[in-house]
Amino acid sequence: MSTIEIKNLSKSFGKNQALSDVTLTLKENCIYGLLGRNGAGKSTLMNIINNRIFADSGEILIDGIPSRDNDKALGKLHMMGEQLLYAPSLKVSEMFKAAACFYPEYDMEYAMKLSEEYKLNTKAKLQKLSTGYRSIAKIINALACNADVVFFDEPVLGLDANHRDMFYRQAIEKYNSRPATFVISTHLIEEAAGLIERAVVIKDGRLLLDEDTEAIRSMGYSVSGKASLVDEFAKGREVMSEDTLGGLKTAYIKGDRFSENIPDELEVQPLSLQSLFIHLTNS
Amino acid sequence: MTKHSFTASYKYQVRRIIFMLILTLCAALVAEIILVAIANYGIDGRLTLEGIGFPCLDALSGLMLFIYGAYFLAEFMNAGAANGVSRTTSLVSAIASNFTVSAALALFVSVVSPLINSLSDSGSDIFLLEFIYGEKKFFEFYGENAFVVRIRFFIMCTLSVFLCAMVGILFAAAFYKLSRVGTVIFTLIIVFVPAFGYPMASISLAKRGIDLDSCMKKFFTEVERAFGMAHVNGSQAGDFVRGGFMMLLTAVVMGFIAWLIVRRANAKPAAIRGD
Repeated sequence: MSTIEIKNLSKSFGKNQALSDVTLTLKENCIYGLLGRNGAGKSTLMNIINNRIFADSGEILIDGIPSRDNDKALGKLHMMGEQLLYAPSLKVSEMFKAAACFYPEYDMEYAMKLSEEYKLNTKAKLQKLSTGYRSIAKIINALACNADVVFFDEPVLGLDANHRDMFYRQAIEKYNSRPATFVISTHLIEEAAGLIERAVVIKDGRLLLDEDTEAIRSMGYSVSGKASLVDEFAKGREVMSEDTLGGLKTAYIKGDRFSENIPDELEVQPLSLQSLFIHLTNS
Repeated sequence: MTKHSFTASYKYQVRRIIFMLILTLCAALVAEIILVAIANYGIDGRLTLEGIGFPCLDALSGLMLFIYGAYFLAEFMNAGAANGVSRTTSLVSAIASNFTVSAALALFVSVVSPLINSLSDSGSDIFLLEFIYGEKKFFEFYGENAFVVRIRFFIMCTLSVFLCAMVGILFAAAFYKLSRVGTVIFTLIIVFVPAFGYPMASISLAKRGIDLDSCMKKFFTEVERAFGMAHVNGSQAGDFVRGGFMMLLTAVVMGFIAWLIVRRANAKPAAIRGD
């Protein structure tokens, strides 16, 4: 079981500051959603934690051990990245065998079973697979490796709705059968929301939020209905954002919905992760 | 570096190189047999294997390992990065796997090649190392045990092939670390500095009364002497111990420089056509 402590991490690419002084702790056995807009620094953060690129300053400790170039710490992690780090000429089955060399608890039987479920041809070369199937091959590899912490960077990239649903289900099944820390970076927040226990939001390379999804839901609520009624209700309350469609309006309001006296004509919903994300990251 | 991460990297790497090595050697053997048969048929109308042989197979092996060392390093570093292995471990195991493959190839050169050469009329096996350090027959003629001579040849061959692999690894490490622009500049330097830079420097220094050619000649003579090469002192036998030690030392220095280069190098994902 592994806890990752990220301390004052900064990274720049030329003049572009990708990460600024990020301090964060990833607790063990928790499913994290790493959220942020394009270019926010999510992949950079994951790549640094996994020793794929190096930070300009700051430190990462895995179970108290500095992770930089340290096999003892790095061996507890696996990252399913957007990019392919295996030789493209390898067959899918060869990629599984290669990973099995590195991860002592690698479950080859499970990898083959998932390959069948996804209808992934394990004899095909990685370079011959479509983008979607290449993602599937990497997903299976990540789920089968049984590492203590598994990072998924845009795991559902190029996957159809059925495959995406399969991935979410298998991630939960895996988490239940062998608890580990999953860090999932995705833009499909609504889809993954049911999976995520804790959300980490990054904006312009800075940590904006690190909170349990339950706590996020109680941070605010949305009211929908006739625009005039919504406007009247919203008066004097802290409105995070508003959506208007024809004569209907939705207002996202900060506060506890249970302590409010809300008119029956208005529909009340708990704040979704996506609404909060949009509100937080809109510049 | 942990024992497990090193063993895992080493196993993966040896498996990858050995497969390519066997493929290349089989292709070379088949090509040699076909070419000799065709050539003999063309000369006297008979399909025979007369004159078959692998001259300078040790040099060819060195060239092969140079290519493998250079070709596989990026793949090994990336595979390590994908599976929670540090750059240091990936590099150290790459060096170890290249050494293992060098020894395997040297064994092939020392044992199989003389057997193939014995198929020809001359039965001679010509090696670059023999040119440098003295012929095996010379030592056997002067009473040395044939087995000892062969073992010595095998050790020297392993070290020389390993040195070639390390040169490949060093080049690959530089390319792995560099950005795209840096790679282009580095390539241009490698190509153009010896081709144009040297003559220009030679002319420029000659105007100041410095003879660059003789300086370089002196330098290479000293290098040859340091490596115990026979023809420098005109004798038929070189200094094996000195040569072997220098090869090993040079390989270690190259490995250290390669480590300095790759220890903070970002993982470079594989390029896939069409993506």
